Amino acid sequence: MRIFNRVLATIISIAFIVASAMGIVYLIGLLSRNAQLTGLVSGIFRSLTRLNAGQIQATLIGIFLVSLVLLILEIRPFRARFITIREDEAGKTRVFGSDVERFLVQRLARGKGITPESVDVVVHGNRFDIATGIEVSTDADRQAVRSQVEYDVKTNLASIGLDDDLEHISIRVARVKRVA
Amino acid sequence: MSLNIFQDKKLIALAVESAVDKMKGVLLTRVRAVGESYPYSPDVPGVWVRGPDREGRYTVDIYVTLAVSGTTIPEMANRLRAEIWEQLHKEGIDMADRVTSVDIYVEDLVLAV
Repeated sequence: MRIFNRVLATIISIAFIVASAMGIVYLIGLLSRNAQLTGLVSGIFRSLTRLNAGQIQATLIGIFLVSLVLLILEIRPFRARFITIREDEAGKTRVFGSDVERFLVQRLARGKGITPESVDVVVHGNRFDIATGIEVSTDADRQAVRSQVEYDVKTNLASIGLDDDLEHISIRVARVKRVA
Repeated sequence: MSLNIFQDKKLIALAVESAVDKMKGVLLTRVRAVGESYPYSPDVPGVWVRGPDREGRYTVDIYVTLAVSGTTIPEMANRLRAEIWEQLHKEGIDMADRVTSVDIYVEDLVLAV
């Protein structure tokens, strides 16, 4: 679902929520014979009918312009998140970013103390941001763990030919849990 | 320069399809993603022939599913390009000289465990 549908669904949901809330307030007012509550809801509807022709036109134009912007955002060409791995006179070779992320998560999770849930890989263009949560022994060197993860990332990327832009890898070892 | 651009594009697209069919582990991405403006050729879905430029040359974008096993993605892409150019030559026309580049978009990557 793209942005137009999301915004439309959000607007409709909000409209339903507001209408429901007003209905509940009005119902409570009726049942409790509280004129203040029923008057509050009635007042909101009465204020809408007091708009003059110019105000109604301005409101409709506003709604139209917002709808137009949303429509343009909806139908503009979709830019898939591809990573360029080779570019020469023969042509480009590009891979879908999420495939590379999935591949790295699978491969890194083979390492000791790493689970697929503890690895977070985000690929921005040719930049790789990798955050890992690792269980290590109490005497493990954090820097050594980080170096090992970096080595694993580079080796695995090289195995599928994605080793041209390895200088753009940033690795964060987070949530180190020390176990005996 | 041929005036029949649509025919040229169709020939190129069909040649690319034949080349892809011959490659093991390569499939054209034929399904158009819902709600996305996706390159979609009426001749061969997954193959997008662009051009021609002033010299009558074309460029090709292809969207594929790639199953990689025991090789790298660039190596497979190079083999695929070579197969496409060979197929264009086989068509008995000068298409290979008129296709300047083949951009390969790996839409889905399948890796051997």
